Amino acid sequence: MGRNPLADRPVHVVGIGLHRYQAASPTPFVELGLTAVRAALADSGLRWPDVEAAFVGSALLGMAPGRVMLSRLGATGLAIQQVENASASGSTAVALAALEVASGRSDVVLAVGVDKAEGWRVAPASAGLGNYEAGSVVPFTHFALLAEDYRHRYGTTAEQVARVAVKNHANGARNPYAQRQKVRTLDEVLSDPISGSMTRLQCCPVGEGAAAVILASDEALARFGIDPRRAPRILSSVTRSEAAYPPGTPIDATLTAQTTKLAFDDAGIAPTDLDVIEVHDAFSIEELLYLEAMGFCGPGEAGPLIEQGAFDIGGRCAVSPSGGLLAMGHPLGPTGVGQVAEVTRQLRGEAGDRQQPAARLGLTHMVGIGAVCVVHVLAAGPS
Amino acid sequence: MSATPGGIIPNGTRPVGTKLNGTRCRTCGRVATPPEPYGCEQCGALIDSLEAIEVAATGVVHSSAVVHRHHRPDPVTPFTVIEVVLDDGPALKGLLVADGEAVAIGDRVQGTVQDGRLVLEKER
Repeated sequence: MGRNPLADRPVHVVGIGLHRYQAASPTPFVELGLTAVRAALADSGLRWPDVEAAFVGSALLGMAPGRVMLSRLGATGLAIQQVENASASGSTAVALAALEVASGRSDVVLAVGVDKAEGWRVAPASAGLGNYEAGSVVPFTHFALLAEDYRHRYGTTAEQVARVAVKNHANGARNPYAQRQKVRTLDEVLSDPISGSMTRLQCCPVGEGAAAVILASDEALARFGIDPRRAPRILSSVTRSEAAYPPGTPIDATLTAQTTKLAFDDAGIAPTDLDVIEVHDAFSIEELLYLEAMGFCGPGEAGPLIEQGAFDIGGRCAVSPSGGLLAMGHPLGPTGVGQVAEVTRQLRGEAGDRQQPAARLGLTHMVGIGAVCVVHVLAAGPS
Repeated sequence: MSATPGGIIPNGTRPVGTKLNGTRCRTCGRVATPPEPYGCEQCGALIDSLEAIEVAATGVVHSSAVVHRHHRPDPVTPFTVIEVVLDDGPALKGLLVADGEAVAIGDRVQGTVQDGRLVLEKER
């Protein structure tokens, strides 16, 4: 990896907006996306013609959703690019938008994630590689197997893993944009088994929605009179993919360890410096795996720590204060953008009853089929 | 033999520890099964550097999970998915044989391929 471009030319988040994540509905994707973009513009105080480029993250909408959606804000002729990177599509849209600002090409750039849970078509399935599964192993079983391996190694209980979902459902209950907004007891979370120790409420819902963030340079902050206290800075942005690991290696956790290490080095921080983490918790076990992988705690320590409330809002570090993928939901394209919106809200001190006290440093983390991993580290503006 | 959620093999048809078709990279030694059709995932060697080999369908249980919900009628739920690290290298996912004895992490298993699926049971 070369030099971190975000170190030379600061990139700030100046506007955030969301359309609630929800179950599949007849609402057109254009309406979902425009709701989020208009909210982000209103939040930033910028006007649509101020936006010079847009990156549109979606995994399921098909070809060319960007211009038909964004033209309804007024067709200004701005640069529009479609971004698909599986579950990390939205995160990758943010990464490319940040690079666009850091490069000096644009001063105000939109990253928007929008998706509808329909028309699944996954390229690796038609890659001609073959396997011995014949459709018997789906994502929840992939993670159920990781859960059994992890629990066997560290003696972590099914209840400790389920505590991830209890926490994230409680956070989602306080998030008006979450698909699931209901507090759940440990007994509720442990009921309704799906695969291994993974139960229905320990698996994320895939629905629809939209999330938008507007990124801007120092020059734009000055030109438009944007309050720097409401403009957290993106310190680092790192994307990696799975390497050829030895057999039996937990792929997603190893990839996370490698990607977060680079992101921490670029940002000049240590994992334990973080106040807020939005993690790819599509399945409850992932939160424990990734917190350890990123070095926030040692191997096998995440289970006892979650039981002690270390990852609650108000704990050592608020993990998935939005509700995470488990409760806020995982509509694919929007998910990674929504993570950046939540961390921005937290770093501004505007998260209301989900606020992590004195939050100064935050991280967003997504993995996607491939596997790919995208990580951002953000810092609060001047207080 | 305990009654256990099983897979798709009718009673009487038992795995025999068959060989699987595979490839080994002459450059880096990476073993793949099913055979690698494009190029070595570890070192990028071209297909003509990959030699056809037989891979023993025996190994150690790395993890397992009983699946209670499935989006298709086949396999019939509940069934048990096993992740096995083969003695010859690769890690694969397969199903525990129907009415097979339950397996634990670390157990040795042997398998065969039935209807495109690796079907495993405890090594005897």
